[in-house]
Amino acid sequence: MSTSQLPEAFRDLEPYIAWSLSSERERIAKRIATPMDEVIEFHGKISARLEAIIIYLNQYPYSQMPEDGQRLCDMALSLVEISNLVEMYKNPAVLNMIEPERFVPYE
Amino acid sequence: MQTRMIDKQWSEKYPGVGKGPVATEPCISPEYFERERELIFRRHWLNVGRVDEIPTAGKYFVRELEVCKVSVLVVRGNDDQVRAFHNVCPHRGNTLVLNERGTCPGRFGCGFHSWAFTPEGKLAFVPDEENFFDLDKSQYGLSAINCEVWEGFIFINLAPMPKQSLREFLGGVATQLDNSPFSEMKLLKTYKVEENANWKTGLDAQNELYHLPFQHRYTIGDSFLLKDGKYCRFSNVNLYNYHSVWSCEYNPAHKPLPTEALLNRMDSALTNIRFDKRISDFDWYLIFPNMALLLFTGPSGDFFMTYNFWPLSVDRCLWEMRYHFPPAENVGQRLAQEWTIGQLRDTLMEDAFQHEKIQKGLASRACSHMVMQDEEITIRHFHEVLEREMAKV
Repeated sequence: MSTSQLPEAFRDLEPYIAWSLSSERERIAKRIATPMDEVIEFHGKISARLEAIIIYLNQYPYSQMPEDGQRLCDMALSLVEISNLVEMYKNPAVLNMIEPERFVPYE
Repeated sequence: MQTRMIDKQWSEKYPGVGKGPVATEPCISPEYFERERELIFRRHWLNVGRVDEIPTAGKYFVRELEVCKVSVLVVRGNDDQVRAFHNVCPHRGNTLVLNERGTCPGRFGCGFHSWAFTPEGKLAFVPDEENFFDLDKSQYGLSAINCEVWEGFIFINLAPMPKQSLREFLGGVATQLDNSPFSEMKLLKTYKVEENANWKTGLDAQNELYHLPFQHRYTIGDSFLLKDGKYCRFSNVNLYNYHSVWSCEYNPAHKPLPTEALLNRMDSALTNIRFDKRISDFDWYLIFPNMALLLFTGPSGDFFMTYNFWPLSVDRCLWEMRYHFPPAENVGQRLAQEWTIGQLRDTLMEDAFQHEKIQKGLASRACSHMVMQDEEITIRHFHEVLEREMAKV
């Protein structure tokens, strides 16, 4: 684990690499499996860097992202996945919603 | 602002639509459901997908229309034409294509005796052909299903002779939305959920905003303009022969969440493909019988969704939701799109929960009818059209 998986300027986010997930199904599973205090910590760290992440990654056309940039992008997608939990629901899920495993995403 | 915050305006605009109770029996009666199979789903144009799912020659997808016990193979031929066939080998009736989607490798081969068909549906090869008795291959192509395309939306009709063209059927909806930039947007995400609910229970629940500030108070309760900040008022309603559209305006006082606000202020997030023919900020079309077409304007640009409610039995349905966005050119756009998708997804997950609870209540026969107010006029209209079509024997 000596080499970083993220672009140089974002190495401080390396502890959260487990959130770098390429599909929505994986991001939902991670959200459900993670205790709320860890979700809040991840949210705090990444949302503070979100503007910088977007500015950095916007230098690439979306379809031609380098691998480390793609990992950073997937991490930002995980932030988008959990942002409402922290910012609005204050809860791991909305009350009174259908079981997530029955609501199946296809990308 | 175009919304008039007044009461009972839609029944004034459409005095022909009733104001009385709407029977619950059609949502719970097995006998009614059996008649719907024949009188609704075998006689009307049904949306099965979009052309961008099969962008090049040989690409295909299969839709299982359980309500009609029909498997539909939709394929783009080498002549670029989109056709629909029964997914059945005419030799002995075997199911021809087993994959849900893919590319035809030159021929569709039947797994039973290797009869082979072109993407245009012609029978191209029969093993041991000489041992048949005067087999005329031209008579044994795939069985065609009526298929027409409007603005990239693929519709099929299982009637042997549809009584009207797709264009005639769509009527005012087609007039309203002709030449809209649907094809410049791409399918980005699909959700499917099998619900323990009649298909109309789900569709009806989506076909109004009265419930929004209540059922969705934890998600998008403040997104739309409401009378006194409390109650839904559409900015417009149009009723057509079969279909309908209601529209509403966004709430300018909506307070964006932190991530939402950040994504919105990144200029890079904005795409510039626009629906010039949108009626308001959000237009919700019901295309009879089981499709909804939703046009949105969003902080990062316009997009559209489709819903298809496919009956499985009287109290089960498959709800398909598809999101189409302009292709993201950069991460700013992609993240803004994903935020929008997720926000709506959570709301739709609340809806799916609710659909099942409604069905449970209806099935108990505690109420024989539903009472509806003026902002539920498009549901009434839908039920009136349904009854009209069910009476055509």
